[in-house]
Amino acid sequence: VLKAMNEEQRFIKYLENIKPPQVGSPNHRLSLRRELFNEIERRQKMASRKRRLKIIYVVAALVCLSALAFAGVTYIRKWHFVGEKDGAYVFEKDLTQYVDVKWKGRTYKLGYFGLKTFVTMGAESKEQAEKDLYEIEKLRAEGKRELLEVVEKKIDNGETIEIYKYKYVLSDGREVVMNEGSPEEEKELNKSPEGIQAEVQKKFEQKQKEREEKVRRARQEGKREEITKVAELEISGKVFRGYLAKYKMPDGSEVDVPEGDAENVLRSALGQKEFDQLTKDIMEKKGESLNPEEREIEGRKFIFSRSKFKLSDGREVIYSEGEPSK
Amino acid sequence: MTDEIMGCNLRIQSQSKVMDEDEQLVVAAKDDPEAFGELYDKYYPQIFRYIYRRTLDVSLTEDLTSNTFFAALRHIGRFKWRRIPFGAWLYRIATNEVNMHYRNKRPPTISLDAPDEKNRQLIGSLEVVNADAEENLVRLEEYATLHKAILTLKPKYQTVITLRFFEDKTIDQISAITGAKEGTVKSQLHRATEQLRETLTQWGAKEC
Repeated sequence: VLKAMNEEQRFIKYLENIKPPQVGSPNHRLSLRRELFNEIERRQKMASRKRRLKIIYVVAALVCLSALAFAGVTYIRKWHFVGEKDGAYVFEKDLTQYVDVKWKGRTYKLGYFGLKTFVTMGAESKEQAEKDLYEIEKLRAEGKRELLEVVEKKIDNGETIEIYKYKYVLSDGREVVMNEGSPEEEKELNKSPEGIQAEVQKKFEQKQKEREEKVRRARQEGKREEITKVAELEISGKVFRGYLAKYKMPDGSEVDVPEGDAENVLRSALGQKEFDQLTKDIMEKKGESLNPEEREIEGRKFIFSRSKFKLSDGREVIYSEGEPSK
Repeated sequence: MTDEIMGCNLRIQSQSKVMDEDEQLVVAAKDDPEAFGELYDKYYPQIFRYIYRRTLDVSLTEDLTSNTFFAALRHIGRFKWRRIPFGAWLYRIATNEVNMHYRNKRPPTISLDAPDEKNRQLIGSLEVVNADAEENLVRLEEYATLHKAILTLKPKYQTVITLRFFEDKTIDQISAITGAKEGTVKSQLHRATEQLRETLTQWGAKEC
């Protein structure tokens, strides 16, 4: 053992005393330096072109409530590729969710609409953009981002919105600046289904109360100015008609008041399930388009757009929606 | 005792100063070609020398050194200072380049003849640092025999032997370069030394 140990130590000593050759290659050193500098220059040019294009990732958000009742549940939470626009890759995520709300013994199916749009101009491919998108979402959820600034921007309808510019650092080192909504909007977009349910119920109740009060006051104090919209459903030769009429209030304000009980009559005629399906199909424009018609209602000409729908029992329904002719 | 402590402190301070300079250069090099140039000038000789000692082939060394620095340029944005020093990172890239080269090639043919004439001739065209040409030629001959034996080892053993004995790296430096734990490095070194000694003994070429 000692002999072996001695041999090993001697060998290590031998290795330690070896003087390896000293070497260099001045020509290669210079030419590689030049090549590296050329590469850096090329990269800088590329980077400045990319900066011009700017990796603009925009998250636009739109959340609204629909007071229209319709049935059916769609729940799409996946990003999908919409297309390319001016060199950018556009993705959308539909946050639409339908919830049941109750009002005066009746159940309404309300749509909670949300749409997120993701636009990128910096990614080199659609796949890269999609990968970035999910990574950014993850970083956002983890709070790994830096708020650069908040800018105010006037949008088309004249409103001023705040745009929050956040910097995200992707795993490959790229820095991405995202234009996003305010933290309140973000909270709105990331609500749980239960949170949405409660909020929709609350807002719906509030709106219904306000609406009922307005209609009551309009009928009591107001003067019907004109019919602004007509909706007709023709089924088995019978026509159900509803109006939307404009009332002028004493204070000068105007209120749209629904008239007629077509909806309730139709609901009881068709049954709740069929009625819900039909209203959903109308909302989603699933009917077969028919030629428009011009007709006079209470001395005023209306242009009706018309579509044909088929009920589950095979009956056909023609839905017409009329707007005053200009 | 006081001297030892002072010496130790001084060494630590001086080491940390070097790290700070490199760190600043690395940060700057992400955008500034001059900063990358400074790092290049500082590390080119070490990396070239290391690859040459692993391959003993000048034109291959030039190619692999180029690959190493281009890879460093490509990935410098991802370099994380806290993990390993920049120098160790470059050594790691160079090690990968060399090992990859050997993996992609057939195992080298080992000859028991004298060092290649090719290397003898090349010595004249190389930049000789701190040694005159004649002494370097002697070094090359001696090293070439040893190098042939080293090439019979597994790449990871070739790496630790070269770094430890010919690049004078400490165990923790080798650990930083290879990414292996210090204990692993020690046992790799032990096995590598043992295998190398056996090979040279068989060849009858050991000069202890």
